[in-house]
Amino acid sequence: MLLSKKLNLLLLTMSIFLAGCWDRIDIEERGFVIGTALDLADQKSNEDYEVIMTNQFVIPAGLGSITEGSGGQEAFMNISETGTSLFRTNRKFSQLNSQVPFYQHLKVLLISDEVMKQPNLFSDMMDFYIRDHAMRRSIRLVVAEGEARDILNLKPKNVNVPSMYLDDLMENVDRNTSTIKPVHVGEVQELILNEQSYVLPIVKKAGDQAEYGNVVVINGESNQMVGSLDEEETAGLGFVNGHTEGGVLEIQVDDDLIAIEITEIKQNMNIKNRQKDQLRVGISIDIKGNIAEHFGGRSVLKEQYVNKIEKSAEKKVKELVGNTIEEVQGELNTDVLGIGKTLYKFHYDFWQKIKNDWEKGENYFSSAVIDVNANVEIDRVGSNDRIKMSEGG
Amino acid sequence: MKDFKYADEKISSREIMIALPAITVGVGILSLPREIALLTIGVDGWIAILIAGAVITIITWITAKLAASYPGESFLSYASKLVTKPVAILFTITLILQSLLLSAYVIRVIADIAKTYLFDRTPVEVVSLTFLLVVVYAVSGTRAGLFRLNMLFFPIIVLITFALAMFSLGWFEIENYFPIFKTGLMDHLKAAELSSLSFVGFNVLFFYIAIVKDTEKAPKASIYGMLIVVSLYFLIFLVNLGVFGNAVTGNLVYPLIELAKEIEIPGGFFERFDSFFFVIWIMSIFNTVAMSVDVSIYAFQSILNLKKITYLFCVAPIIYIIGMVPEGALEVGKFGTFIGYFGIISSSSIAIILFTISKIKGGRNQPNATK
Repeated sequence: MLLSKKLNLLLLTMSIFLAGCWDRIDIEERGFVIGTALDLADQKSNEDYEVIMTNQFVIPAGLGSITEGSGGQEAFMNISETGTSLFRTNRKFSQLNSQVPFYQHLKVLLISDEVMKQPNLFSDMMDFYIRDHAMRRSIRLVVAEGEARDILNLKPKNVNVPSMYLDDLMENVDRNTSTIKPVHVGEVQELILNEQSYVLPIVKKAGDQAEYGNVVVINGESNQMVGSLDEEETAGLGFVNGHTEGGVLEIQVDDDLIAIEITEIKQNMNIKNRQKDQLRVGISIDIKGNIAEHFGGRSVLKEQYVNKIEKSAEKKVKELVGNTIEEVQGELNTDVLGIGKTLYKFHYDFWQKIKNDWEKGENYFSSAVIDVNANVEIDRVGSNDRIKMSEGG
Repeated sequence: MKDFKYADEKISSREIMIALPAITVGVGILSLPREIALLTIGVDGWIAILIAGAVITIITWITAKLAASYPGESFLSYASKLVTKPVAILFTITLILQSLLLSAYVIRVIADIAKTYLFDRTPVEVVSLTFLLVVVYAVSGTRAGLFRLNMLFFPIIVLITFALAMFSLGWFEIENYFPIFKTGLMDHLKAAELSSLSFVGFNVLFFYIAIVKDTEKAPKASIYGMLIVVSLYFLIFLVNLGVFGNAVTGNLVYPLIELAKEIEIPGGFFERFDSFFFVIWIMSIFNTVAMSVDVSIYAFQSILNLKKITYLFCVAPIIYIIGMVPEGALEVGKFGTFIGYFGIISSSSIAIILFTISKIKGGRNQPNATK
């Protein structure tokens, strides 16, 4: 018994040596990458592109605390590297920075519009962000107008780290109709695999600030950006495919300006016939909203007047959606409305017959007739009836 | 030293019910949604899981019924009565081989997965060895203890699966299920065939029913056990498809792990759900390997009465070496498919052959029959 006690003690002591670990990296040695920007360097040959990868590393000391402040130290550091494959480029960071890039906390991936315009380049780049085990599928994607790495330098006075600022900007999606819900790397993988056309949000430089809003249109067939939508077209698209969660609808009723705060958007798409060259698609949009601002002196408590407001709002929605349809059908010939998706999901056999001639060849998409039906319902009118007494109403 | 409840190495039918999912649920389901999604359209793969599940449940019942009609008798003993001793030994060796190959495959896969997701630089050999050593330690204890361990781990595994399903709701889109019922018949059958490979493991029933106290309840318990597996697989497949859709599920190497990576529990504290998932799934994989190594010992002892520990020291290096033979993910995959087919075909045919013969011989020389 005594011997075995001694033996036990010896074994216990030896367990100290078991603490070794191949994969140990101390937290101080990790460089937390919180945002990445991808820019096009230059075209080497017809097929190969050189890409500039800019990683934004967080410097924890610079973040400081509320009471102490950061003591003037910057909270982030941007480093750029150039290369053809992203994985090798990512490894090159270790030649510049003593810290190993650690991507588990990567929040935002900025891609310059130049990259998006090259066929297949963007989808090829996504491979690294999906294949690598350290990447999370919830990384948010955003297209930068101009140089993407410049946006990682924007630092308004109230923020420490630009990437976190961008990430927060993307949270405010229910305030404007021109901002869409953030798109994640995981979703893009699905879109690319399904060869579906889609949109990505844009961020651009506006002085010291970044401005988030509007979208670029990416064709699923060629995997490249074919154009972009302006504020109104983005709003129209948002009504159709549910990218938008809310926003403001400005309408004119008898020369009085009315702003409607959208609280709920629901949409439904149905295929009315299955004629290849004259497909009829019905889109119905149900919107609920509040009157948030009202010019003029008419009473918003009169049912007749509210009906009139609803009617003009419906007209406005139809107009916005109509413009968007015109743009994506006529100009861009890219189905970001999700008609192809609806056909695939609910009219599978018909879709198999036409899918090769949808956005190319016979171009059945552009010859489809789309009927838009909008229904706006005013829920609340706010705490005031009118600001001045005139016209009577 | 029979002074506590489980010292007599007997188990109850309830423990058989839990042992089945414990041994069956392991590495197969991690990649199963991909294999099914590749062959089917939309969410149609659920049919394949149900077909495979139904067939395997029937075979499980046959196996349990067969073993239960010879209560207290070892596999070798009742198989010898039915198909002469040499054939019975051959059957036993086939089943032992199946368990050993399965253990080897599983320790290799778990090491590969751990290397991909957790340890970048730790060699696969080291991870496998560590895992195997823990298994050897567990198996060298009492058999009843191992069954208790199953009972202990299993609720946790079910819980994490349900937690995964619950937290996925935020990412879940019913649209991902469409189109439905568009897969051709042949693809359904092919998918069902592939799904059946993930149900390997019911061969333990040939042996363990001998130590069940309430033998007559064992067949029913086995059916329940297998149905638990089918429902778990069914749930995991539906959640995977609902979150990722068919195309993505079909292209992720381990859709179930990616699912755990995708979901984030709001609040930040439990953001990294995959770390929990790994810990708990490794428990389930541990059960798989421990049970298959143990059943191989039990089977071997019926042929040659060797001490448990001696056998373990001989067989553990063999398992380890077999596990290390395949090079690269592709060969490991082929090895897995081979083991799947080998396991399902050998166990099913042994069960069906023995069951048929026992039915034919029936009432004549079956003094032990309970009903």
